[in-house]
Amino acid sequence: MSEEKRRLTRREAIRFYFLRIVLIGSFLVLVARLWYIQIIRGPEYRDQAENNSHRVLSVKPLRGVIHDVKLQRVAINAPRFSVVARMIDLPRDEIENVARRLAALLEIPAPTIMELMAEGLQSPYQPTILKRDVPRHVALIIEEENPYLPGISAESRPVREYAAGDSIGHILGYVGPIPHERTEFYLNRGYERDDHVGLAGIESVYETELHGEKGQRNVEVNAYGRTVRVLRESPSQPGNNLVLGLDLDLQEAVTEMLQEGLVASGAPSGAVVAMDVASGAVRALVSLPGYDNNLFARSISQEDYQRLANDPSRPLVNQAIAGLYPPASTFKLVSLAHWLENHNMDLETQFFCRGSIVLPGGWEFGCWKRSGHGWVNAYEGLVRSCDVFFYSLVGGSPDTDFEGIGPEALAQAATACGFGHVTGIDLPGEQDGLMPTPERKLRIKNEPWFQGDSYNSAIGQGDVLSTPLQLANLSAAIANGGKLMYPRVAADIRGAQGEQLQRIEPRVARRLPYSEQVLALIRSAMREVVVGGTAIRIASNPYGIAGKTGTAEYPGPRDKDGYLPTHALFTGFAPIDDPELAFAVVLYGAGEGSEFAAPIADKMTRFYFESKGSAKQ
Amino acid sequence: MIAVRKWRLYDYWLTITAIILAAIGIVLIRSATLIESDVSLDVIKQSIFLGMGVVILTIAPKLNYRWLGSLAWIGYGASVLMLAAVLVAGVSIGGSQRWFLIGPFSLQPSELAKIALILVLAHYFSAGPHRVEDIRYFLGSMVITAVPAFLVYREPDLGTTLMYLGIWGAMVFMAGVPYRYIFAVAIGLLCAIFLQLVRIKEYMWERITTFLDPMADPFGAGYNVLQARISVGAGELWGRGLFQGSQTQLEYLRVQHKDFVFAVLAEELGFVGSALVLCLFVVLLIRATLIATSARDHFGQNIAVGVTTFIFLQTFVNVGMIIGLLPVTGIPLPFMSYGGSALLATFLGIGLLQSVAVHSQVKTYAMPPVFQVPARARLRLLPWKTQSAEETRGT
Repeated sequence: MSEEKRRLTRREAIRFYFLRIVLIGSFLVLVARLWYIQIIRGPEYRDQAENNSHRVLSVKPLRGVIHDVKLQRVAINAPRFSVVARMIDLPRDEIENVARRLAALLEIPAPTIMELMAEGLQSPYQPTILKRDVPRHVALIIEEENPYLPGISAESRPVREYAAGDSIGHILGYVGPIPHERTEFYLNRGYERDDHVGLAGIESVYETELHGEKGQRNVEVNAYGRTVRVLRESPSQPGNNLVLGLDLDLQEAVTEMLQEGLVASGAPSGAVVAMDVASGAVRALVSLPGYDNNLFARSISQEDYQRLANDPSRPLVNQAIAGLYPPASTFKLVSLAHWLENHNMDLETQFFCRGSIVLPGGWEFGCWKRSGHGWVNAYEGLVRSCDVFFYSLVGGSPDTDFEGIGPEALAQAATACGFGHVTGIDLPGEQDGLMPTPERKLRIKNEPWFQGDSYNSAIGQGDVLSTPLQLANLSAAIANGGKLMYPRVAADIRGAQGEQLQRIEPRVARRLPYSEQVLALIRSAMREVVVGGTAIRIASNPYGIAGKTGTAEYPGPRDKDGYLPTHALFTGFAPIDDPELAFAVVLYGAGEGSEFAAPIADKMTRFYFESKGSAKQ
Repeated sequence: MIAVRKWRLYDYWLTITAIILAAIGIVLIRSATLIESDVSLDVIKQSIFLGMGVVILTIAPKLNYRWLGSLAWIGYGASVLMLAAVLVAGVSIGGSQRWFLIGPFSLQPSELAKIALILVLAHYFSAGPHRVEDIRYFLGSMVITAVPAFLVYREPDLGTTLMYLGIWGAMVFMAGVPYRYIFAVAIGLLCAIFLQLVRIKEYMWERITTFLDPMADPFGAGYNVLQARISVGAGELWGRGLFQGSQTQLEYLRVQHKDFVFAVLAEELGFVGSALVLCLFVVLLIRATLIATSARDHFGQNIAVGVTTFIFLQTFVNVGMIIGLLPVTGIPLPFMSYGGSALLATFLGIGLLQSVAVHSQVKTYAMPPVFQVPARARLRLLPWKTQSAEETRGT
């Protein structure tokens, strides 16, 4: 064997020299770059790493619970699962896969999910709700499939649930996602995009009390958005509880009574208001047809909403505070009170009713009793609801030289009695009604005021419009000695533990400008209406009920005898000796007030006092 | 007698650094799979392959690399067949068909084909520099490389394709190709790239564009790049502690125990840890170049150059990608990334280096071993000293 040793040529040696230089040089570059990233910019990147994994989650407060006057819960929070996406944790290139996977689970088409996610990208750190009220087993599947569903989680979120939704929906209202046009408003007040807010009724009026304060939870999350560790937590403050003056039992009973009344009379809609005479606390406030506010709390479907919104009987409108009806004969209370107060309790003046008054020019104004009432004074006028007497009282009588108190005085009296402006109840959407005057008629219609206009106003027809709540409120004022209260649905604001925070004190809105003597006379006249007047049908009521019927004509198809269709009205209070409950009952297009409205008031007072009596025992 | 001599020439530095790197790799794979289970299947698999690697390093010096001369072509042919077969019968993961499934293991032919390519090119140029100057030989080597490169490109696996081309380039250069050829190839490559850019696959485009600006699309294609860079940066000087990196443990870092294992290292062991690992690579690669220069023939030298550039290029591209110097190409980090075929190929390469080292001297029994001056004991970085050193050793 020979010694065979290869030598590197000079060129080869140079190449190896070059190779080693490149090698070491490259690694120096890598180390330099590492130094730059890890040492010079290290703190910055460590912050980013912490930002990645440290999340501040808001802890939603529990909404305050709403109780009725007997502390029965009428609005509670029921746990429900919602599926949410946090877009920060969902890599863009996975959106389609995730959406497809979710589509099958949530039974929503994938494109819809992707649209929701695209919206969610605007606030990627906040959860975007994909579906509410998901069944528990779906929530569990979603948690199990977490690795394939980055950024998606099923969260337990309370959903508002209402007791007796159909009868109380109008009062409580409902909660729902912040409407688009109000987003700015709520965000400025510390709300988040996915928060629910009160959108109608008590839920919206007492939103600030009920909502509570959100808390914060600092957590460490993994790349799929799942919480790995809770670092710090400041709990949320639940919203305040609300106690209503409302009596749920009464509310439900009245709903049933009114429903029966509607069926019996064939009326499409109606409203009943019952309130405490002394405090103005609303005990029952029913508007039919109603709607189940639970539908809204669970995010109503477009279909259901359209059905409610397009229903001709307008179930979404609270007829008790926003339904406008001519007060008809119930309005006679106003002219009567004005007359007695300003004419020294004058019961001497009488007018002769022969069934109608014919004005010069041949305009005939009929009394409801075509055969006439004969000689009628103020007291009898009210008891027997004689139209001719009130025509004459307000507009003057063509038979005598009596000029009447005039439309201006009547309008003043009506305003003093609460007509033509809102009562100020703690519910949204209240209507103010209308009290016509000659000045207004000239301004709006550019027509002079005729004597016939005075006649129409005198019996609460013509352009006079009022809400059932205004009627009930007036009855309450007559009963309580002249105080027009602010009607109140809520009575008490309590803390989460039930401790009293704030009493919503009864407040007097205004005083009727009538002496106790006048009011006492009116009260006894109203009692007489029931005992021996137009509402004699309910005279058997043992609870001293007093009231005034009304039968309001409204433009519509005439019946076979040529009469206009009429709303049935009845307002009053009970008991006569120590008034406690004031009420108003209105049935749209039902017919005679004495026939359809008064019996409901009868049943309602029976229910109210009987259940109260049994509660005392 | 011969055995003793062989083990004396065995490069322990090389073996020890290789095993240390692979062991660190396994620890990092454990860290990256910590959340999955109590026992990580990937760690067990990788350990099995490391065991196989140690066996290779033990057997390698007993085998003379020169026997591989003619076998290289058989290995090359087999590799090309396997690469063709995987396009037909392989399993596709993430849109790329690169693997055969064998029981619980998956085999990636493109990794083993690297070694076959190195061997065949080494043999092709083993006759000496004059062959390289012949344009036909030069073009022949291009064809030899182009066949497997094309097959791998069709998988598709752009990173490995580029790696083949890189190995070829380095080997041709180190074999002494005239500069005019290199210049011509460079021009040709630029044209090819330009043409290819027009019909390049979308994901490749995305990688290139996101390399340029990862913040442009933080939740999309730039996600991995950005998260890798955050991971590295968050490590700072000392790291966040082994098994403590939030980026790794909370899975912000994706494919972490495969291509992005260096990011795990950088996050959890910091600048100190990653710089130390890079130092180990430098030691290993410098030892490899020393084996190249001490090889007894051109075949051995070419093998050593091929293995050196293969390990070097992959390391540089992988780390460069993670720290934002190069676009994401899906190249594993030698020794450390999870992947049996890759680990096996790397240890085969180290085994070849050991075989070259052990057989660098044929006639050494003229003198007692005691007086032998080990060639690798002298670090000759300066070329003009090389000549005299060679002379010294010759005497």
